[in-house]
Amino acid sequence: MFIIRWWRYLRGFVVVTLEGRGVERLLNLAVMRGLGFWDLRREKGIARLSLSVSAFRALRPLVRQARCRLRIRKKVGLPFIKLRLRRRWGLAAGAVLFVAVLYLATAMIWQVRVVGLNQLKEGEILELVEQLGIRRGTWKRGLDLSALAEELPRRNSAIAWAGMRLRGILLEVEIVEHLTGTEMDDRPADLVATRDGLIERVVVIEGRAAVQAGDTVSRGDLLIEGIKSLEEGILEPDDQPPPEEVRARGKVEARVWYEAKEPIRLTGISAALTGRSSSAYFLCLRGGERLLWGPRENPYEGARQKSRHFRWGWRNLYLPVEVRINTFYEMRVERQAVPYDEALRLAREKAEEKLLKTAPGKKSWEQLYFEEYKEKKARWVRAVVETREDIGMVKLRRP
Amino acid sequence: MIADFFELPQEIILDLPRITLVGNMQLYIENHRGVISYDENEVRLSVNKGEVIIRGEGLQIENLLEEELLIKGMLESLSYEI
Repeated sequence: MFIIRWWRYLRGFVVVTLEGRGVERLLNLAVMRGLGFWDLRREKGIARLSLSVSAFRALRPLVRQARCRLRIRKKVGLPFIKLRLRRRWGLAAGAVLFVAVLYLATAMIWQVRVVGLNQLKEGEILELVEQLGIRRGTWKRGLDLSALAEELPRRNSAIAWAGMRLRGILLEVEIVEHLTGTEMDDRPADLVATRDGLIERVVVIEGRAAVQAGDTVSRGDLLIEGIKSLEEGILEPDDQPPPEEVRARGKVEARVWYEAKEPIRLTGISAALTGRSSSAYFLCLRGGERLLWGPRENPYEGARQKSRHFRWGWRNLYLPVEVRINTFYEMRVERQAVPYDEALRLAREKAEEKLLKTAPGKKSWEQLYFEEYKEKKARWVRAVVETREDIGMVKLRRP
Repeated sequence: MIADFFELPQEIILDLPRITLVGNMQLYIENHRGVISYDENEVRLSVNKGEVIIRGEGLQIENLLEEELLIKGMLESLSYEI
C-alpha cells in the first residue's frame, strides 16, 4: 500500500469534491471508461475523492453528462511541486545553492588542532603545517595526510613522530616530542640533614663525611661535605693542595622520631539522620536559577544537603532548561558515653592516622608505641614512631 | 453441477461476485456491475442478477476499478437482494 501511495505521489493527483444527485452515475460512468480513483468518502452529500491527472481530464466531460458539480480541492504530488518551484525559481535556486555551499564548505579544512604537545608551542606547529600548504580553506581532497605528517619531524627535530587525521572539517595533528635527556647537575654541593635524628649509617660516594654513626644531628646540619676527600698521610698538611669542591653524594641513614597526640574522648558525638527531609526545586536557565517551590535555606537545625541535576537531551544536544532538586535531610546530634578502653582505642587510631600524614611511608617504620598522659585535666594519647630513613638533602655550596 | 464436475470456481461459471471480508474493517468485491448508491452509512452495489447492500459507519470507497471495489470502514451488515 505504501508503494502504491508513493507512486501516486510521484505521478501527481488531485483531490476533488463532487456534488449533486448523479454522483453514483458519474462514478459508474468513470469506472466503465476505466478511470481509476481512490479514497472516496461521502459526508453530508458531498463526495470527496482522489484521482490521477489524466483521469481528471477524462472525467470533465462526464461531469456535465451526470449533472454534478466538480471542484478541485487539492493538488498533490511531485509534478505540482515542480510547477510551483518553476514559478518560484528563486526559492528553488536558493535550496540548490544552500546544498552546494554546504557541500563545498564541508570539503574544506576549517580548523587545525594540535594535540600531544609538551615543550613545543602550538603556534610553531601551526606555522609548520601552514608551510606544508594546509591552512583554513584548503581542500580535503587529494591531501596525502600520511606523507604530510612524515614531513613534520623532518622540519623540526624536536618532533619524534607526527600524525594527521581528518575529523570532518577539523584537521587533528598529533605530535609526539623527543624526550630531552635529564642532564646531570654537577654543581658543587653538600648533603645536609632534612630532620633531626640519630645517625645509624653513613655511606659516602663522593665528598667527605662530616658525621659518623651514633652522632645526633638536627635539621640543617652538615652530613657530607662537598670536598674531595684525600687519602691521609701521603702529604704533609702544609703541602696539601687547596680543597677541590665536588658534589657530595651518598647515603646517610638515621633514626628519626615522629609523634602525634590525640585527646581521649569519653563522650562520643555522632550525627544520625532523623528521616525527615524537604526538597527545593529550582529551574536553571542560562546559568541563572529560579526557585519553583520548597525552602531556599536549610529549614533544620542540622542537616545534610544533596543536590541533583536533571537535564534532557539527545546525544550532545540538551534542552537549555534544567531542573535542580536540592534536598535537606535533617540530622540530629547524639552524645553518648564511651567506655574508657574504646575511647583509648579510638584515640590511638586517630593518632596513628595523624602520624601517617607527617611521617614517611609505613615501610620505614621500625617501632610504634603509645603513651597516655594527663594535661589540663584531659587525658591524652601520644603516639611515637621510630623510623629509619635517608635524611640527606642536597644543598648547593654556592647558591 | 458443471462447476463441481470440472472443479472450476463457481463464480466464474455462474458470473457471480466474489466477496472477501477482513473482519468488520474491509470488504473486497470482485466482479461487480457498478455503484447504485453510496454514502457513509450505506453502499448499494449492482451485481449479476441482484444487488449487494453493505451497511456500516464511515464507509469509504478506497479503490474503484471496473471489476473490483474495496470498501473500508466499520461494517455492520451485508445483505443480498435478488
